[in-house]
Amino acid sequence: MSYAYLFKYIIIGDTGVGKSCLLLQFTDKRFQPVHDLTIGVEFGARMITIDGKQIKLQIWDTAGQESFRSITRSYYRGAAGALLVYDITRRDTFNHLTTWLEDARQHSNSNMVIMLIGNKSDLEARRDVKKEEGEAFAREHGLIFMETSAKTAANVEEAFINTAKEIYQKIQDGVFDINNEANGIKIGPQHSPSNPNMPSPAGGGSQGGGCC
Amino acid sequence: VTDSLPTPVCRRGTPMSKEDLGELLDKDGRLVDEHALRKAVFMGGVDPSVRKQVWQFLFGLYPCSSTTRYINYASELSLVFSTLREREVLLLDYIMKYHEQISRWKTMLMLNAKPGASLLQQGLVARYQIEDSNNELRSPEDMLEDPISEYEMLEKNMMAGKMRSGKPDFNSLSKNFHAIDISSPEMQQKMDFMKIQAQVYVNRQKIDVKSLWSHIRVIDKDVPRTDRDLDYFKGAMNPTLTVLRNILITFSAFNSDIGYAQGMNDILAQFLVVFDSEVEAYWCFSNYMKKIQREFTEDGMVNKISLVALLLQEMDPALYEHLKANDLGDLLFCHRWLLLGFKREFKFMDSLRCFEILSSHHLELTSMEADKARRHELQKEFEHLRGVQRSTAPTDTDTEYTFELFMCIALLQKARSDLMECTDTAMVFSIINQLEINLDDILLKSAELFYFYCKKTVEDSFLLVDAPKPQGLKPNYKR
Repeated sequence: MSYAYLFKYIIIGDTGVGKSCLLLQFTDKRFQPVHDLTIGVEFGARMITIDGKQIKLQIWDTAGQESFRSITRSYYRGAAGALLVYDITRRDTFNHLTTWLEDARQHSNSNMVIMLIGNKSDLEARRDVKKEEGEAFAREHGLIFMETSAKTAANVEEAFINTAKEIYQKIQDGVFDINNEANGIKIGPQHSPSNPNMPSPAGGGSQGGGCC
Repeated sequence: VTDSLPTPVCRRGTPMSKEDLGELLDKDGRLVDEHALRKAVFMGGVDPSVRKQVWQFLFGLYPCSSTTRYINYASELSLVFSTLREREVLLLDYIMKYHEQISRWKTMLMLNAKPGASLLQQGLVARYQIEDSNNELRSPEDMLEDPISEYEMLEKNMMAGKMRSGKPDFNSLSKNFHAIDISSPEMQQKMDFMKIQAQVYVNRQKIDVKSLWSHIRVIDKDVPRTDRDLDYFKGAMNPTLTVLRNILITFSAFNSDIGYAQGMNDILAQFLVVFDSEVEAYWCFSNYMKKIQREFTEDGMVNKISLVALLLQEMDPALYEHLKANDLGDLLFCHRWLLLGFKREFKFMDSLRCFEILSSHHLELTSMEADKARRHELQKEFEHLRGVQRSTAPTDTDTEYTFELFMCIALLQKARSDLMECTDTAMVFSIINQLEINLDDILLKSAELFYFYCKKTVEDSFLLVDAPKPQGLKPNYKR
């Protein structure tokens, strides 16, 4: 299917916080209570519409455990967006956020949009991390924040789409150089300057992208 | 000159049957010809009815030369000896040691628990082992926050060493125990001695309770998501989950250099399904893990994947160059294949067969087969030159190229035409995740690649030396 832009995402966070389930809920609209643990990375994609434009999200779901981190890290390269996930019923997964954040910032580009996600909001009875704490952490580190439930699908669409909106806005603001694929953004094939039938999005330059 | 020696024929055989196995055992149950067993396993895998018996040799539970009371797997009537034989004694020893190990880490968890902590908080049980219908029980507190001094750790270990462990529940630890008669006073004495030995064995190792907690945390995330689509692991409160948990924790507690890494649960599941007996599964798993432990480290795995890249470069330079040009030359997508021995690429029953075939190590560059293949090539060359022996450089075989690496190449070549179109990682993943693989086809292809490599190394070795050329005869090694 044709798209105006392709955004590359990564999903990171401790093991068992529900990264793969969030991806599955977003791409397949279903919840699998028992999901095989991820070895290395898995991959998913879905098309969304922002501002009337088709945007393809290419999502890399990484393994949460320490071992083989350098292998999973190699997928951080050139991501435009990251979902940093913790489990609201396990404080240790919240405590590790700083490490994850450092790791992500160190191995990907500085413009990457990061969405902090407190997952498993359906398990209110077992909540171990207050919503306010998540908000405070996000504020402090300049992240967007949401609580989600991969089980009930609450806020899952929003989490992925709001991240895309933020990236899209950054493109509009000229923060992202869309001609550099290392930024995790690709212009759709029919939109590329090499196609004479389409107006070149690069024409507007990095100032505004008024053509799209 | 005609080829008097046939090129090794690549073919697949049928699974090893009860009768096939029976022929390889002597009247005392010793495995007489280990090479023949490995070869048979390689050729066709093992019939599920004798898988248990074959795996106990394949994964070193019992030495091939050990004796047993039950020798005739093919017939209903078994010869039964009145006294215990080697395998039965070994099994008792395995049960004792495993029991002591479990008791030890449990004691350590108790000794290091905060006052008033629940069993869940101590790490002694996991959420999936208890009723919690209202979802109200709290997760274990993060124990890792509190520092524990080296001295304290040592002291607790010593304290645990002095505590008495209970009697093992033999029948629940091993499904094969019921056949062993331990009623005689002589036997009881022997068991007491075994228990002391097991305690000494366990006392030799110190448990680092801090890393144990962090392992348990990951293990408890992984156990309830291990092969849950199999009946064996299905259902809430399935007792098998406790067995999985016990084995993984015990292994990580007593192998602190390896600990626990994700993927081990997938491997253990295979042993558990086959043996359906905790102690046997534990020791086979433990033997297997110790052998391949390097692959469960970051460096080991990165190194292994780089070997796939090197081998691909040698066997299929065009494919390698294409991937490299598109920044895919690191072949990191082979990670899952190698870590789990292709387990997730097949249906469970086929993955068992794949696992035993790879573990037969019949076709390895260090094995007799490779030697034969190389000698065969040399012999052919000798005949081509009408009996003039050519001097060769030592064949430059990289014995690190294990059979599973050839299997990676075979898989990549199966998807070759699609891979040649790939320009990014996402495309590669879509292709390899959709790859439909027939196990026997891919094994056949892998064996062909293996023999091709042997032949190639021999030919390359000829190129390395300036052999004196016989008059009027050009060596014809480029076939």
